[in-house]
Formats: sequence, structure tokens, C-alpha cells
Amino acid sequence: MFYALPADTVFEAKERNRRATLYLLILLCAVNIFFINLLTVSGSLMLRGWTRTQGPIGLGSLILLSSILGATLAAAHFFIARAKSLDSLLEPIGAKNADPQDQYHSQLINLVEEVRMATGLQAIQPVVLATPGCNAFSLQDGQGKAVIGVTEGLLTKLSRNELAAVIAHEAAHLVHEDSRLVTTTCFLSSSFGILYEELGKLNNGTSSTRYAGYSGRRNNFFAAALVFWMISGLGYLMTKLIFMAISRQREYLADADGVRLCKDPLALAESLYKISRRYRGDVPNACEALFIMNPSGSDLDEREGLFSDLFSNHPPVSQRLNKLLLWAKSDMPQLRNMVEMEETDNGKQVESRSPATSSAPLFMAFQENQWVGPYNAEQLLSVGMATPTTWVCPPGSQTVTKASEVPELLPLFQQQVQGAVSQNNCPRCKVPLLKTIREGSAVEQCSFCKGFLLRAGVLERLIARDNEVPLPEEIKKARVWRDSQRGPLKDRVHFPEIKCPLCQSTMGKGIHSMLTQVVIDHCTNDACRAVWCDGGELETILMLIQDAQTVSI
Amino acid sequence: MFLSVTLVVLLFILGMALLLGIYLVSVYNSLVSYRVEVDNSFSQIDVQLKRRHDLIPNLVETVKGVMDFEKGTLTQVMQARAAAMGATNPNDRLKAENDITTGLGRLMAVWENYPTLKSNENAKQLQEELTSTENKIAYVRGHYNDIVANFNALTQQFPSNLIAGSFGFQAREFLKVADSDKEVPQVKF
Repeated sequence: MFYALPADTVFEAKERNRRATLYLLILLCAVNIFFINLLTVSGSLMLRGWTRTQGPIGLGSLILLSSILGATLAAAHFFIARAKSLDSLLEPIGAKNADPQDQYHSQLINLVEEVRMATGLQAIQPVVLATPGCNAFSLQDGQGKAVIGVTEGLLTKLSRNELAAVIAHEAAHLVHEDSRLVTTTCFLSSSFGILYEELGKLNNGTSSTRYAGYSGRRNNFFAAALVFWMISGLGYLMTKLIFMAISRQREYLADADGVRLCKDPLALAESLYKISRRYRGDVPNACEALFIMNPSGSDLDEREGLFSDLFSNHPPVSQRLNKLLLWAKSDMPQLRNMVEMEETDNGKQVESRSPATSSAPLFMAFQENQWVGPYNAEQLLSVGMATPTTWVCPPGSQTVTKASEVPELLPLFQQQVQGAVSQNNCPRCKVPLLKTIREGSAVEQCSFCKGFLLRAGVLERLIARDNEVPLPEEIKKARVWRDSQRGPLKDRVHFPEIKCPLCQSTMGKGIHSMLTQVVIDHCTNDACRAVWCDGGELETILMLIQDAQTVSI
Repeated sequence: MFLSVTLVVLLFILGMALLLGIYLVSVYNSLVSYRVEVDNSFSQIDVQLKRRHDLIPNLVETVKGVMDFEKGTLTQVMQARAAAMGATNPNDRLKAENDITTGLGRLMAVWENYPTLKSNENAKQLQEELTSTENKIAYVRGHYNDIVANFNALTQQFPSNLIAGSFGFQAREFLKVADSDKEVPQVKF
């Protein structure tokens, strides 16, 4: 609601943004008025020409009426559309709400709440983009609902203090009402863009199919469509121009106010430096200005001067860093040293894999292509070779079943599962899964077959966050395996179809991606969308993707 | 014609009076909004301090077995917490809260020396919660000071100070750092 800064900075920022919004509205009204007048006046003149009468309405009052109509239409579109524009902007960039069960997301939720308290604003909703690129943005719609978003890559690459600084920068945008203006223009430009494209299609597609008898009525229809097409084209252009003219200054001011909120200029400098060196994610062109650093990393940003001031929406990174480092009483070489030292430290830490926990009346067990036994239940399990998926059969009979289907053996396997046991069962081994945390996200793993149960969205997060460099022998094996995968899906699957452990619907098999060629099971229930990876599949996917990223950078 | 001149003058005076009235009302309303926001921020600080009180027993339980050398600090934190929850006057409360802050600060500083804690999921979450709560306390206090600054400015600037004076709005105090906190801590090895 309120906050304090020297009156000549933030007060000015808010006023400037409100004025910009007003200009935008006025210009939109003007364009609408002009074109609607064009339409009605020309229509009326044509009508008079044909019927050779004066017509019911005089020209002056016609113009007045059209102007009022045009202004009302523009204002209505502006206010109604932007009041609830958040979802239509969040969806195309793929933003999802932060998940409180996830360690990284819950830290993000805490950070956004902390910074919100420093600003005195009403609720800010945190969202996350599931991309390994590093970037952050903030949005606010006409009703005052605010959103701060970060990418998965940012969550993993930055420390807590640096994340706090980035979020403080975005919160500063919210306080200045930059976000509201940018959201409005983004929304209008994208909706104009859509209108522009649709009407363009209309004009192109149907102009070639004209019937002689109907050409009169069709002409009028085309005229109207053409007019609105031009309105939308102009509107698109203007929205871009209006807010670009003040974009660069906004970013500098947000840097300054962000530092005031989080009191840590060095952290913000480090974050900007790290973001500038990395992949920043892919977003549609209309939404670029929303982000802390331009996702397309254009050269125009790095230049100064009138042209780039007008047409670039982010200031040069070096300038931003210089200003911040001045505050922090540091300089670029020190910053580079700090960041590089930190990154070599992180590279040396190898995440220790959890040690493999193995597991296994009288039964014969099929081990390594031969039948061994007979063993009783305890012996089978104590030998440690029998897992729930081992084929067993009572001696002397011909019924061969999996160990998990034998009523005497299953409880023993279930007892072997120690630790954070979940309520869901492994679809292959029928024993309860173990809850564990992988890269900050909650996953469930079977202690026998090492398969993973991943809830909706978790696989993308794991891929985005995975940082491990695999051993050369392992990556070679994975590549060889991947390159040997040929043929249609049904020839490659070895395991039968399974049921989803969460919702019991059938799971369908699918290839994860052309890059990995790994076949995983997806739950077909849209409300669930869980993923089951058999033993080794998740590791293979992560290794192959990590390998591909290393080569390309 | 004479009548219409007086009419115009009367209308003019009436218009001016109306504008003045609107201005007075808007200034009074801003003063009220600021005062309400000041009270709100102050109670927000209390909310965060209470949250810290709730987290402390959990923390002590989690690290008791591990942090052998910090037993003194742990006892001090628990005692300060009891004092803060039972304090009757604001000065005692403030002193107790500051004691908690120093104690927790020492614990957080030596957290890195205990690798068992780093791999313990509960301990990690607890540390995150504590850090977050400490940050929130700091941010809310900063926000409180900002709001008090605005409010004080409004009560002292002309002409809103006239309205503030006649309706009884008084300047508020800033939150100050306790003198004991200004001592530089000794570094002992």
C-alpha cells in the first residue's frame, strides 16, 4: 500500500506510468474514433449517393455518434480486457503455480512472502517456468492481482540471497506499477496481434472467392474487416512504441528500488552477472519486456543512444552492473572472481547416490538363466537375490509366477521396505514405494526395481535442475544404447502395461523424446498425469539430456 | 445586473469553500490511512515474533543431540524465549527478543560445522523456516519505519500539520537498535 522513498524517484515513477497508461488509452480511443468515423461516414455518403436522399441523420451528429461509439468501444476493450489478463499471459509462457511440497518452490514462496512484507503490497503469487534458462518477471492485472515468476534454472543456479535480490527487483516493478503497464501493453499487443492475424487471414482467404451477385454485400463486410484490421495493426504498433520509450529507465529504477528493499547490491549484481552469461529461456516476442533480462539477448540492448533508448526495452548489462557495483563498493574483476570461485566449488560437489538397497514354503527361483533352490521364504530373501520380479515356482509344479504374486513372499518383501514408506505401490513389484527427495522435488522410488514414480510436472523439473556430470563410461553406454533403439514403439517394449499407482487408471507407453529414446509410462488420466520410469530410465534420460547440453554450450 | 454580479461572486465563494472542504477531507483521510497502516505494521512484527517463538522448541529438539558445543547457547535461547513470552512491559519484551536474535544468530553461524545437520531433511527445512522468519522480522521492521517516516512527514508538513494538530494525530517513534546490539561481537577462536 504505502512505502517511503525520496519523493522525486518513486512518486515520479508511479506518475510516469499512470500518464503512460493514460496516453495509451487516449491514443487507442483516437484510433478507434478515426476508423469508426471513416466507416460510418463513408457508408452514409455511399448510401446517400445511391439513394439520392439526405438520410435520417445529419453528417455532424453522425460523426458525434461514431466518435462516442469509438471511444466507448476502446475504453471498454481496454478496461474489461486487462482486468483479468493474467491467465491469458501466463499460459502461453508455460507458468505454473509454485508447489509447496517442492523444496526449491517452498523456498521461493518464503522469499516472495518476505519481500512482500517489505513492500506492504497485498498478496503476490509466485509462479515457476519449467525451463533450465535463467530469468524472472512480474505481472499485474487491472484488478491489482500480482504475480512474480522465476524459471527453474534460476532457482537452482542462484543462492538464497541472490534470489532474494532478484525477487526484490521484481517487487520494485510491482510497487512502481510498471508491471501493470507492461501487462496491459503485453496483453493488448498480443490480443491485437491475434486480431491482426485473424482478420488478415479473413481478407486474404476470401478476397479470391467472390460471387458476382453478392459482391455488394461482401464489399461492405470486407470494408469493415479491413478497417478493424488496420485498427488492430496500428494499435499493435502503438502499444509497442508507447512503453518502449520509457523502458530502460524503468529497469534502472527497479534495480535501485530492489536494492533498497533487500539491502544487498552485491547479490543483485551477482545475479545479473550470472543470468547474463546463461541461456535465458524462450518466450513469445510480445512478452519479452516482462523479464529481468531480455530473453533473446539482442545486440540492441547493449548499445546506447537515442535509437536504442527508444526501441530496446532493457538497458545494457554492463551499465546496470556498474551502478550496482558502485553501491556495493566493489568492481567487475572482483565480481567475476567471486562468481567463478563459487561455480568451481559447486562443480566439485558430487551428489552421493543413495546406496543400493537390495532385497529376496519352498520355492525354486530362476536366477541368471537357471533354476536354483529349493529355498524357503527366509532363505530366498536372505540370499538377497530374489526380488519381487524374480520368477519362482514351487518344486515339482509347472506354475511359474513372479515372486510378488506369491502370497507368502509378498509380505516379506513389503517388510523389507524401510524408511519413508508411501501409500502407493510399485506397479511392477507390488511393494510400497519409498518417498525420497531428488533435486529438491518429492519423488517415490521402488527399493527393488529402482523405478521412479513422478507426479505431474516433476520430470520436467528434474531435467531442468539436473547438474550432475555423468562418468564418461556411463555416458558412452547410454549413447550406444540410445543409438541402437530402432523400430516402432511396440517392438521396443519389454514390460507389460501397468496401472497408475496414484489413480489406478491405465498407463500408456510413450517415448520420452527423440533425444533420449527412453520409453516411459504416462498415466492416461488427465487429472493425474503421473509418470512411471522403470529402473535406470530416469538416470538415462537425465544423462543424455545433460550430455546434449554440454556439447551445445 | 447588480443582482447577477452578487450571484456570481456568491457562487464563486461557494465553489472555493467546496474545494477547500474536499481538500481538508482528503488530507484527514490520508492521515487516518497512514495511522492505520502504522498500527497494522506494528502488529505484523508481533505476528512474526510469535512465529519465531513457535519454531524455537522444534529447533532445540532437532539440534540437541548434534550440537554438543552449543549447549550454552541453546539454553540461553530457550530462557530468552520464556522471558519474551512472559514479559509484562515492552522494554523487557524488547530485551528478551534481542537476546533470542543474538542466540539464534550464533547457532546459524556454526550450523555449517555440523555435517550431520546438513544431510538431515528436517534440520534443513527448519533452518529455511528460521532464516525466512528472521528475514520477515527485518523486512517488516523496515516497512514499519518507512510508514512511520511518511506519517511523521505528513503530520509536520504545512498545511497538513494544522489538520493533524486539530484532530490529534501525533508523530510516532521509529524502531531503534538497542544499544547492546551496537557492540561489535568478539571473535574468539
